[in-house]
Amino acid sequence: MKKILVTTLGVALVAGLAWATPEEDRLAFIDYHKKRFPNVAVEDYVNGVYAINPPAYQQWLQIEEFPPYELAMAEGKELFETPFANGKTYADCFPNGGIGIRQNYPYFDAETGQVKTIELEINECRERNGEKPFKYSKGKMAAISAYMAFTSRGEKLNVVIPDDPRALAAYEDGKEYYYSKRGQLNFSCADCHVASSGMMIRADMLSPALGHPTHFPVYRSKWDDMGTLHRRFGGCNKQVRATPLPAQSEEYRNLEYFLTYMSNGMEVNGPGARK
Amino acid sequence: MTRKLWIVGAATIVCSGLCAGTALAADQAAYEAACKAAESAQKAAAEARYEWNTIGPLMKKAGVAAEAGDYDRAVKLCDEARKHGEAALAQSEHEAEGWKLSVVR
Amino acid sequence: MTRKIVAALVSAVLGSLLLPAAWSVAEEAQSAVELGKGLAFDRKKGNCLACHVIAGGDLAGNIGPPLVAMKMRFPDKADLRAQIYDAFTKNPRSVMPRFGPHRALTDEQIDLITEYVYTL
Repeated sequence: MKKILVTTLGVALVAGLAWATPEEDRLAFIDYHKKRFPNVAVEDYVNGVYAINPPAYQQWLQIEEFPPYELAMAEGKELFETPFANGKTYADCFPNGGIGIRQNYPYFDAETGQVKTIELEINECRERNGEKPFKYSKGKMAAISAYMAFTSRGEKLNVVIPDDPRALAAYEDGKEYYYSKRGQLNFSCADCHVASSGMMIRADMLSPALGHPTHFPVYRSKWDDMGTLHRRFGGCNKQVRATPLPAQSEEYRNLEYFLTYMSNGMEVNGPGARK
Repeated sequence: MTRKLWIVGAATIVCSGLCAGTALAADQAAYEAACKAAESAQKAAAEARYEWNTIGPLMKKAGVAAEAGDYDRAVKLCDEARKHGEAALAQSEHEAEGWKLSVVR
Repeated sequence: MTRKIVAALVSAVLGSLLLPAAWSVAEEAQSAVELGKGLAFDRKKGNCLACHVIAGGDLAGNIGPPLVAMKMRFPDKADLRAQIYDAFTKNPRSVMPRFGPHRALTDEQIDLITEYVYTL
């Protein structure tokens, strides 16, 4: 009897430490946030740090009255609608003419075995139609991405991890990146945005991880500019004194895959304005 | 016992003389060797996707010092850069398993 | 008379030898604390305020505990130095930077910061 009990305990322990499915990860992630911020409704996490910081929330509402991303969005709309030299448009490259589809990104592409982001496909579309690709971090890329996010506001994130070992490997790779400490300062993404979210680093409150990808691209006051999610990844890397990876590198795409999956079911509300 | 101490003492004196001699003689060759070692440490860290952004600036400073003929300083900076690369690689090895302990469950 | 002079001379000589020595030890300790404080507050060095509340520091974070009652928390100064040098010694998932092994601070800088933090 004792032996059986010990064996059962042992199995339970091993099972507890063993690998979890993405869905188990996501539920644990939400649970963690509920316990950490019991007064915050899950759907409010799309507002980032403002969901957990009422004084900053009031300031942010004022900023949103004259959104600093509006110019970029208008530029993005124009770019999106202007035909390429060959007469085709972005609408020809995307499902539903590219309108209201942001929630389905990133996705796993079985053909290439890679995670595809919306920015990656914007450039693929350009190149397929004989146009030069845009730089991935800001500028025109951020503008088009902002417009495409805007047309998808209110749609719920629906990142799918298909039954394909390569898709799962990409997810696991992103998860590993998220939880690994890096840089001379030895911080992981999770050290700041999971373990220390809501705490102050100097005069800034660390934003919670849940809902992080819903509002990108963002107009960031610190940049005085628009930037994509991968621009922010690079900025975080630099802050911990790690060498950033290129925007749209495989690691960053996998990271986006994991991070966005954690926010599945939450509404797209990009583009956003952030400090 | 006493003899042993004598030998150690003598060796220390001889070595300190020799080592000071080598330290004084930091030249372009020494700089290039130190720089090469730093570059390979940086490359190893980068391949593991764990490079630190402190390494490049240290090597750049080393290059400036070498150009000004200050090879002592150049070697020191390259050594420091190499140590950063090695620490970054050690970090990647530590995190290869370590990250799992941080996962939200 | 002569004896008095000799005594005065001796005490003057001794004083000139001993007093400055005593002074310089105190001054050195004082300046180590001051230097340590400078390093602790420097955003490019210790940047302790990013995460710790410290008396006299502005815009402090609260990721780590406030730096107070250090002598009570670390009866042995060496333990405090070890924590500043490498937070992994006590907790291998600590969110505190590993200042020593990661060469973010030199050994001498860590010594000075320890001197300062130990006064808190």
